[in-house]
Amino acid sequence: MQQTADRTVAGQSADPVLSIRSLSVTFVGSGKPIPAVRGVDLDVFENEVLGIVGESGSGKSVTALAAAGLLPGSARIEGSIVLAGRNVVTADADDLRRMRGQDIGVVFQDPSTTLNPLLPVGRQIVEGEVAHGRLAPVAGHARAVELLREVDIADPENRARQFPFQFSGGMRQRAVIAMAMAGRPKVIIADEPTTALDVTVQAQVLALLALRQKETGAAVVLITHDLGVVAEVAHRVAVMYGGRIVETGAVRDIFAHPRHPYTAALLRSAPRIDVTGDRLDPIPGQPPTPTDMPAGCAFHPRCAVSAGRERCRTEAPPLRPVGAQIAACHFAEETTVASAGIPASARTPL
Amino acid sequence: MIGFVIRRLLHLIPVLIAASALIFFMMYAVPGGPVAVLVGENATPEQIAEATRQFGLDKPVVLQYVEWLWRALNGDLGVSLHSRVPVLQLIGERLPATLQLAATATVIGLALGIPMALVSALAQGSWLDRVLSGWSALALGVPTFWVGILLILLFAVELRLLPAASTYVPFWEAPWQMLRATILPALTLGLYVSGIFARFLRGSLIAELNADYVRTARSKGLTEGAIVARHVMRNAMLPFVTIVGIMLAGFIGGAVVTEAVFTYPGLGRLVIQAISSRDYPLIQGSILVILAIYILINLLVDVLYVYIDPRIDFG
Repeated sequence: MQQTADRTVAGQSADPVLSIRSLSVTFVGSGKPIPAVRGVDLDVFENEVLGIVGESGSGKSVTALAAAGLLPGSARIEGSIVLAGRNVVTADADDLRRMRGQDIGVVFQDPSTTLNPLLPVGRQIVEGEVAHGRLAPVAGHARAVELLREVDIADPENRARQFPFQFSGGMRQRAVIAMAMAGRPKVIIADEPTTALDVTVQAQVLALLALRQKETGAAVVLITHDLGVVAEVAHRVAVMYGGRIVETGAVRDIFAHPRHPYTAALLRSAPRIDVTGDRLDPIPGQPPTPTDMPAGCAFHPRCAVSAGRERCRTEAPPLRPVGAQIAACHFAEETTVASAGIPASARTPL
Repeated sequence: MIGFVIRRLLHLIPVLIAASALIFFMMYAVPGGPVAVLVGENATPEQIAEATRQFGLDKPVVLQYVEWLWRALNGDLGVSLHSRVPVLQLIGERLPATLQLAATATVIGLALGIPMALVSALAQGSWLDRVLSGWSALALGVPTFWVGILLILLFAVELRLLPAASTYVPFWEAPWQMLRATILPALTLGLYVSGIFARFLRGSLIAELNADYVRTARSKGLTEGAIVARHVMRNAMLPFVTIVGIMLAGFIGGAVVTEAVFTYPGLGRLVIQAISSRDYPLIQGSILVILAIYILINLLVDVLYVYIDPRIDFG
């Protein structure tokens, strides 16, 4: 019954290290329940970078945080998330705690708030390892220095003793990457890791993340709204819209031949520096709110291909193989590539 | 660190001088005067003139202030008009009692308030949280004189366990006696501040529990207990020490009502007695001492701040 969104992607032979099936996440509070994720299937394999792309509210961060078991108590989670052989959804608090650090690590968006301002950076980096008994407290400093050196921080010996406010934004995010990798986790969730950074620092941090991924062979799930970031470091990409994956496949295939009108529109809307005088082509309308999801295909009110077609308004399109990738569009074959063929990687001087 | 403390202590001098001037001239502006107190109601004009000259009250007020200040700087705060005892001696008798009561009350407040805040914040929205929040509102809202009277009725009158009137017994001389003598007023004040402490700390704990670094700590696989102890508590302490300092300082001169209910020999009652008997040197002296302690406690809070938060420089 489950359709694996990634089945057609070649080059992945081993079992996935993270396997998400029929994931639905609904936030229940005082008001109306908010369905943030509405049925996501996703596999992540070791030694790859999977980019999850989407606008705010598309469910990309919720999906990734669910994998780390980090959603707040107000989240109702259905489906299964199997991480390194264990189901995160049904795991008890102690199991979940043990999986963190060793199976999964997280790099959050804003390094100025993700670190505790009152504790030395080095201590925070190795804290998890010490707490799990995998590192003796006396060896903490030496290990922190080693980890800081691995993320290219100069003078790690002294830096480990400093506090977050003594670090620049880019250095803080490097430290957070070191922290997420301290337990050599199999999967690293990077939730918009460069969004809060200066443009000049973004590329460095991204390159570091890619380098450390290659060195450790970990799987990285990179959440971003920036196609340029995906083009730069991801091997595969899953495009999310309205709490669902609408298209997934290898980065080069999707950038060359987007099959979902939303992906094509995203590529068209990304600014590029290789084409001068070209006007940006934003997607008309607003992303749907989770509490007020359009019937049928969630994208149809903004879709050029749909153009008032009855089927788009009434029938939610399932993911199906189209070309080299999988897309969820009734008329995927009609999505042309004319306007989206140039990789967005050329858009910023990364 | 030592330089920081010394610098801050030097700041104390101009503040105290300004405050003393304010106190001095404010009392000068108040109708009536020390002479009336000195000579009594049926004094002849000659007696009044004599007393005025004797106490230097015929000199210009600015000169009187300068002379008073000069003597104060030399450790002489004058003589009480009422009891003819040096002001400094009177304050010296009351100050240890006040400090002891204030410290005991604050310890009780912290011992009750911190666990209440922790339980409330960690079980936010639960019935336990609601009960504890209701309790802290009650502790805050019920007047201390009433709590004091209830405690006297219960422990002194009904159970006959503790004395109704409290006396000052130095802790280091007879700890057990001291506890017996001080526990009721300390409990009265402690219950009151525990409500403030619990309320305030609950708020900052909840704010800190929602901070991003807590999610980070969770993503590292720390237990909730370790997250609270190592990360949340320290951050929540920053605003909390300010409140504790303010409340502790407030007890130095402001526990008048409780001191009166228990006839406790504290500074607050001394000031009230001084004011009602127009004992000018005593009013001036004791307010000055209370102010100095207030500022010292604030300095202590600032030092704690620097100790807790690495971002704050010894500036």
